[in-house]
Order: sequence, then structure tokens, then C-alpha cells
Amino acid sequence: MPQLNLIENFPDFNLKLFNIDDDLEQGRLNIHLVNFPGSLSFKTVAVLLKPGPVATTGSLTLSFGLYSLNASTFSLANSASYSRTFNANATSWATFATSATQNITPGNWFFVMNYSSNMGAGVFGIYGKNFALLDGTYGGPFFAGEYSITTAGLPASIATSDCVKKGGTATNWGGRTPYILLTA
Amino acid sequence: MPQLSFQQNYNHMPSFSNAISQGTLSFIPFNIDDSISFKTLNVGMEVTLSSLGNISFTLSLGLYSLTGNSVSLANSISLSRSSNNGLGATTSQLYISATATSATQNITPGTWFWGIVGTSNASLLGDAAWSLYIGSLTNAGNAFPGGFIGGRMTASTNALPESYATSDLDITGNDAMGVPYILLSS
Repeated sequence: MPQLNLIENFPDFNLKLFNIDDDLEQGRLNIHLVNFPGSLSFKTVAVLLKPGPVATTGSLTLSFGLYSLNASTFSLANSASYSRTFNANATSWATFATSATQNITPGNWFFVMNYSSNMGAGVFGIYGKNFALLDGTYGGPFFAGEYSITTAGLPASIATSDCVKKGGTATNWGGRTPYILLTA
Repeated sequence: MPQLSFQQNYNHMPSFSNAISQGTLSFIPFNIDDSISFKTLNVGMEVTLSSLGNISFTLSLGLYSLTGNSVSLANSISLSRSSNNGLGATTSQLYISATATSATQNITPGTWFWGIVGTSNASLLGDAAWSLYIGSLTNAGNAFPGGFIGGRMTASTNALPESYATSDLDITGNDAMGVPYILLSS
């Protein structure tokens, strides 16, 4: 199997800006499937952020978790955290380093992300894609959606029975998926 | 080789919809990164309902292997749905899924092809329509100048052939080459 230099969940880069509703979505975990066709020596996570139309001073923390799935339980394999203060409104890359060295093996992995901020609703946006279709959800086992329990961090394990599929009753954070790039 | 739980051709639901032409069978490529036990299949569809009556449709998907210049049927699955709208034409965005494969199969890694053909009563309902969500509407004016990457039968059919010669396929234009979102899960 090849050794990769990068993995991105949306390689076509045709992204949409989602302004985050601070009140409803803090502490929610977005979970989605990403296939790894090769191995990756995991060092850095990158996302694209844009503060809202009014320059606002405040803080933002993003938490990224890499999870594996065994039967009906997700297990945390690695994580990375990002914190900054905003006082401008330019689109920018945000990069954050992993908590542990890991050569991610090929196969199914799950990207999980949540955030916390004190900037209020609509003053922070992240680029990504809408995944959910509007009128119902998918059949078969869980592979994308959100964790139904609000949490301040990344749990060591998550039961798929506690997850809401995209297109179900997921919040906006569960239906919209951030663009995420991992690099070696 | 480790087993996969999921295999999808896009990590997101694409936003372009491509109308399904009744009785037209298309072959699209699908890479399987590692072995997967074929149990459930999901596609994304856009369905425009009709004020004239219920729309019903059946989508048949065949899993084909490619040997030389011929694709051969290894498995199949059928997705059916009937959507009721008595209040006027509206558009629904749906996941359609099915689990009844024609055979138990642990699909091996490599490039496979899906043969996709559908039937519906949409043509009887005036304003009804049904489409699959595909990755791109890019419409190349010439045929792909390399090995087989998919194409569409020019002869009308409602059934999945046991085998088909790739040289007999239309391989030009996004109507023949558009690739819909497909997710397999074990």
C-alpha cells in the first residue's frame, strides 16, 4: 500500500462557507467517514476559517479527533486542538498539530470535529460541504452525522447508537461537514 | 487484507443532479480499496413529485467486473420507491437504500463497474422527474482517449445484461459518463 503525503475529505475544493450558529452547535460532534487508500504519517490538521462580516474580537477552539470503528463503537485514535483569537475578517488556513505520532493505516476512518467560542452566533464560519439530503436519511449502519450528546471535548469512545444520521434530526453542525486536510 | 465496513466513491453527497433516462443502462467505475462484504447500498436521488399522481420507480444496479473489453455481471441489487404527493409538485432529496443483493459476496479490491438502469412512471405524470446526484456536469466533447472508464448502452433495455462489450458503448458526454454517488456498507 502506498504512503500518502496528504488526505483531504473533499479533494474537489468546491467548498461552501457555513456561518456557525453559536448557540445551537457548540459542543456538538460532527462525525463523517473518510476512506484512506494508503498510509499517512499524521502530523498536521488544516481547516479553512472565516470570521463573520463584522470584525469581532473573541476566542475559538476547534477539536479534531481521528476515530476508528469496531463493530458499533468509535474509538479515539488521535486528536489535535486549535485555539486562537479573532480580530479580523479574512479567510485563512488554520493548522494544528497532532497529540501523538501516528502512521494512519489504510481503510475506513472517521473525522470528528467540534468547537467552542465566545464570539456569539454568526461571527465565525468554516468552509465545507452540505452532506445531508433534506428528506430522510440513509439506510444501513451509521457512517455520517453527529453525536447526540453535547460534550466539551472528544470522548475516548462513542457508541453508534448514540449518533444521529445526517438527514435525521441532526443539527446544522451534523448536516454540514467541514473541509479537513491531514498532512504528513 | 483487512475488511472495510464502508466504501463510497465521494466523501460527500455531490450537488449536481442528472436525470435518469428510462431504459438506458450506464456503466460507471467504482474503486474498492479493500475487501468489503456487500450488504447495503445507498444512492442519492432528487425526485420531483407530481400533482397528477404518485411517482414510482425502480433502479437496478449490477456489479460488473472488467476483463479485456467485456464487463461481466457478478451481483445485483434493486432499489424501489413510491412517493406520494397530493398537494402539488415538490422536489424531494432522498437517500434510497436496499439490502437484497442477488448473491452473498465479499467484494475483492480493485476497479469494478456498476451497471445502472431504471424504470418509472414519471413520463405519464407530466411534471414528474427523477435524478441521481453526480459529481460533475462537465461535458467533454470527445471520447476518453484511454482505457474503459464507463459509458452508456445505445440500445434500450430494462434489464441488466450478463455481459457486455465495452466497444458497443457510448462514451461521450456527461449524459453517458456522469458518476452518481454510491455507498456500500457491510
